[in-house]
Amino acid sequence: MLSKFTLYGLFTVTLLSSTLWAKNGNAQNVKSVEVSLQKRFESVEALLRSIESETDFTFTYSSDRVKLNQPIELRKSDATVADILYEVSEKANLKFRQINQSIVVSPHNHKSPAVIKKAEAWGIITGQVLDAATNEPLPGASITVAGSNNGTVTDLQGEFSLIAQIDVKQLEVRYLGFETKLIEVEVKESDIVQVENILMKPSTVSLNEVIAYGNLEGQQKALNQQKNADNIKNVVAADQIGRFPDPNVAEALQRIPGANIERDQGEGRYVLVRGLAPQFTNININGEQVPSPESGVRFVALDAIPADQLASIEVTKALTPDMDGDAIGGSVNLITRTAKSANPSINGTLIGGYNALMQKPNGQASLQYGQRFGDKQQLGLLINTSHYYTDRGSDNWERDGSEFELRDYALERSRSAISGTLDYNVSPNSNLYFRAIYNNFQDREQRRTFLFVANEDNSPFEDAEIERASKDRLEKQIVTSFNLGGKHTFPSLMLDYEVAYAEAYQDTPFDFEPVFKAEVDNILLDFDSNPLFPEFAVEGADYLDNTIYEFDEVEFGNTFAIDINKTAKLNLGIPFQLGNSDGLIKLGGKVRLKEKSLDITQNVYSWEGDEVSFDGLEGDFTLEKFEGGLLDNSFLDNKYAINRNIDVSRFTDFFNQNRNGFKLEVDDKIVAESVESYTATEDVYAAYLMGKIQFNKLMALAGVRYETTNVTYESQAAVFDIEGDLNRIDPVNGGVTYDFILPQAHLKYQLNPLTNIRLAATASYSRPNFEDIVPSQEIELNAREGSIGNPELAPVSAINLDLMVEHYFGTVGIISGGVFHKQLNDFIYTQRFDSTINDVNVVLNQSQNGESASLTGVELAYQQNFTFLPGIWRGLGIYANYTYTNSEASILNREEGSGTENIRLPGQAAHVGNLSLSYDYKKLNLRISSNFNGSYLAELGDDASEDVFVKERLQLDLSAAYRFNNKFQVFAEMMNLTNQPYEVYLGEEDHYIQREFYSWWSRIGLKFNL
Amino acid sequence: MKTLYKIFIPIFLLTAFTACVEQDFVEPKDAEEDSLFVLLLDANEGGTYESETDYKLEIKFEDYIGELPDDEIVLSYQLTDASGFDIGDGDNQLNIKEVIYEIDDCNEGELAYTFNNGEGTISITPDAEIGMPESFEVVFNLPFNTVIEDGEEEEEAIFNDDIENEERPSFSFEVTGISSSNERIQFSPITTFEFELLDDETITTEWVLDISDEAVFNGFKEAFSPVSAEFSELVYEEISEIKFEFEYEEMAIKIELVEEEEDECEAGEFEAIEVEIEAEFEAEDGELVLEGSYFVFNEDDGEPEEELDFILEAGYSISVQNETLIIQINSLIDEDNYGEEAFYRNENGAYSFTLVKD
Repeated sequence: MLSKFTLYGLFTVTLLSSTLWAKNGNAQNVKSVEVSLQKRFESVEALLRSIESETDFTFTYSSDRVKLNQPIELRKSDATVADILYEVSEKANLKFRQINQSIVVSPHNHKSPAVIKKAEAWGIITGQVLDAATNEPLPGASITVAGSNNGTVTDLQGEFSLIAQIDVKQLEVRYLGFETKLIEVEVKESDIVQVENILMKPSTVSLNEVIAYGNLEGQQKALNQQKNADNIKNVVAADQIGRFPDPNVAEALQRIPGANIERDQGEGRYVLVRGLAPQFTNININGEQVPSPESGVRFVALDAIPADQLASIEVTKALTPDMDGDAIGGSVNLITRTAKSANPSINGTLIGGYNALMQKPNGQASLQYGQRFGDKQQLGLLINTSHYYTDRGSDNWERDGSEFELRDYALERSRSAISGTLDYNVSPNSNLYFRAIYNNFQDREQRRTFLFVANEDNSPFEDAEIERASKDRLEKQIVTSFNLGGKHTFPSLMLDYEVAYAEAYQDTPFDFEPVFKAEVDNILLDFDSNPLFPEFAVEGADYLDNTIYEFDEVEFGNTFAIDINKTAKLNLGIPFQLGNSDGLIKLGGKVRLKEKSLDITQNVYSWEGDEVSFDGLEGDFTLEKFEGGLLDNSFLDNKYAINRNIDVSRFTDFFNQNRNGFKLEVDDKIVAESVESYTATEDVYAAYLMGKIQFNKLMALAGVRYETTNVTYESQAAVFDIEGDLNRIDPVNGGVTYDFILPQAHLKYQLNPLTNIRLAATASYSRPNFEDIVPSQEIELNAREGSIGNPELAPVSAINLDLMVEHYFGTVGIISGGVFHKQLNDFIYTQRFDSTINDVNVVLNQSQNGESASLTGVELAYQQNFTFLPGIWRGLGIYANYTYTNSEASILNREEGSGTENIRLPGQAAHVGNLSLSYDYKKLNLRISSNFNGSYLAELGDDASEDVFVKERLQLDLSAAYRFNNKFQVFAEMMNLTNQPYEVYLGEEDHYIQREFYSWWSRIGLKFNL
Repeated sequence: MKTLYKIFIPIFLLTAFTACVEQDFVEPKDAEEDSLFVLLLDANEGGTYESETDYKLEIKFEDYIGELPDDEIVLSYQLTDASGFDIGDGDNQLNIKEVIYEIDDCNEGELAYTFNNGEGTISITPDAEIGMPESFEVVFNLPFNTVIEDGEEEEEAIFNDDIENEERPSFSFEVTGISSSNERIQFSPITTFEFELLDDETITTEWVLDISDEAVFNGFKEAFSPVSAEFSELVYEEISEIKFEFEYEEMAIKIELVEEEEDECEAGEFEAIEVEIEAEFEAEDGELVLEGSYFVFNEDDGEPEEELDFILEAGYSISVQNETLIIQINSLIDEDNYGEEAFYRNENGAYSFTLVKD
């Protein structure tokens, strides 16, 4: 209950704060408001009341500290409020400070400590940095007080707000690829100075020629933000995402150094940062964690989010105390767009494409509108909507021991999204915003299989069988997020706050799979002669003859998983000065309440009837009566022949007409629905304190974050008796509370304006997946085995060390190198152990915390546009990065059952990299991109020989764009040119257990910016 | 605002009319909301010894969700395809003797039924104690004559002869309809049960192994112990009788112990304890194959650990005149022990047993 009240309290405070700031929004400067007063007042208080009656200002003071009863006579009766207050200040020995519409009155103490004097002698400089050619905001521009280390960085709208001392005369504005600019300013005490728009010009003629067509804008924005960040992070700007053929967020992330992705049906889905499995990286939208629509995990399938919804993506590799601490690998922040200017911005895309495997088209359309309204452009509105549709497929074979399976997939996928941002600049230093994003990912999968089960040992108790199944499944992942908050900068305080509601659910309204089987004399399988495409022969039957397959069972299922995050946070920043160094103290708190649940329905039916009659056909319950749907006549390039499979809808028609012949497996239903369903809550409370100071060229940032997590779970346990029958279903509840104190320290030394050395030592952790901690149980006493959740499972904790040197090129580029080391404690893995239940010895599978693990890596990145080359060569560019990672985890020795053994961390690839060559010249852009994912351990087996590895994969993509003018551009993309398969092997590299092919696919489209 | 108007309309249209993936599918009837209570025949064929005077056919509800409804169910049936049987109300005719259900292990209830020239109805109604019965048995009256001998009345099956018959009496029981106010109560598509009377002059009868010689018992124990932990622990002195019962496609080897236990339904009544092996069998042209399963017990806790299938292959010969059955067991294998690893294999007979008709 406390947690809910806390949340409601924070909501209330935030809303009240918003209202308060909003009311004071149109604050006028005391210097611009003139009043006409009488000259003589019987008291200073009377004078102030008179000013209040003529203006919107109100005076605030403590009557204990401030004496206002003395009479006063003004020199002038008509003057600005500021002039009058100057005079009163001198005569009555008072001090006035304007905070929006309030004017704080305090006694003027000439003996105040120096540090306070300094603080009171500060003002705020605000403004916006724009590209002079396009009038586009420039995010990540560096704004420093000339001759000092005091500075700030522009946000995504190119806006900045800098607290500066009153003696400031000049600002220095730097932006990679643009000429450095000096701006004259004059700051008065407690004043807010809004400088005119700062228009930046490209630094060289040659670059100008390129940039004039916008070819490098994305890189500029990304690198400027990256260069000026306090911590180690990579930024991908929207424009840059568009440079690569990456339709979803996961695929955009694969271009980042140290990031690799897991794919589903050839499309990127999960991201792995620095060789750590997806659960070690948290995914945020606009700074708040995205709940996972999937039932058992925390990580988010990033193919649910279209890349064109985003303004940029940030991957933070070294956390700061003001960030959530549960990200050992990294923290990915997806930032949606905001309106930029008073001119309506309308842009979009129209794309059509072709998938070679399915021989079907795909399409994409997006439309974005943004505009700022009001005389001072206070109100901004941006709406972005997009839709993507594709028919995909894959041809796949898999092996499980002596079983061999052919899988023919056909998929329809769509990604629809709409996002919007409404923001209001209450004053130049106060902003309120409301952001929302809705993503709808739908995936209809039809999977047709041939499963060949050989009777390898010629056992009289087994049959050689061929199993035919058709799966028809629709999955919807809906991710929605709302953020309401504000940011305010005062002369001695920075404040931001936010409440957020995020919801993600995965609805699988149908997941049906009828199965038919045929017994044959023998099946000969040969995995050795050609490991790439195993050979088989069926004796005693024609496996393509659908009349030999008799009905076995049908499964009708559906699931609904939902994950909700309610978040509130508050951050305060207090500037200070230590000697000649400027600094910032920051502190804040956060509450995040999570609710997660899974409901499943699973109905498996067998047939209790005899012969059937359907659609004019009578006789045995065999497959040919229900065949239908697609038939791939060139499956795996004609390596194997397949026949038409079951039409699931036709079969379901028959099911509905003959319900009384189908027997529901009631016990299986009860067990599955009880054991797999769960509800869980997770309440996280966090607070932090950090400080940042700039000593000449050295920036030091250090602090500590405290997070406490309270988790509760409710599920059920199924216990079977010794005969294997379901004995009972028991409710099982669990819960755990854990705390982390996470110190973080960062150093950034600026060798020169283009070169940084960064060092970071951070502590972080990673929560276990829900599927591991929910205390559901399924114990089969007769089989003497079971699996049980482990609610006591501790999160993985880590100490992370990072060293990074980066040099940026003026012609937009970077060369960087770094090393990182992570020491993980309480590493999680599945352990098998002996136990006794009801006096029966059983082997249980349970996720356990392991000994420890370490991970060390080297990260290199090189990105340059060769604009210094002569003639047409100046259009050449390279984008390359490479990450080498080595890991070692200590777990219980699987073969010995005691002692320890060392393994690689699951998901960790030794080699990951990108190489992309581009040619940007005038209106033309050509790019060939390759992405390499090294092999990695996907699943631990019972021993090392049964470990499952995903083989290395190199994908080659080609893209070309031609920009007619600043408004229209056409482009074409071809992906997976070399038809790279997804390959999995068991233990040894030549022991393939899966090879899945997707062929190539392409897109051609038009981008417009009206 | 004009701009807004112009922009919002296409955005709205784009969002509203964005085609998503094909959502059409045929929804199967829901397992819970549209749950059925299906009555089905326990078997679609069966039979019993020719010496028996009745036969019980079980009709039961298939596994269901929730609780059985209390609505009355009326099954219509008819006896058809009678061959060798005369359908009628008399003892020496084929008819329905009773329809019973189990209240508990010791008590039965009766359901109302009608029988009229081979047709009739069975009314299934809730029992006061257990509600709607999960299952019930239709007890067929197999023709018999009443014989009074030594002052006692006995039922003597009229087909019980001493000759091997080429054709066996048979009939079919067909459920021709089901009616109930509850539409969720239905009958399975298999509505016919085919009955065949077994012939005692073939293998389908009860046979006794003469174990007066301990060596015979030891041989028996050795032959069957691999697939029965209970058999392997038998001690000769504790055994009173070993019987092989071959029924309709199923058989059981029953060992009657000297030790008795009290009948759980009748206080003061004691019965001999039995241990047994059950299996399905095929017997044709002198070849006998038994297929069954058995539990392997954990050495530490003594509880069942694994259930394995076994196959026993044998030859057999029957002497109608001597009323003996000779079984020559050739091999015994299970899922873990076959091929070269068979428990034993000898084409000339690893074990041989002579059994006498009971």
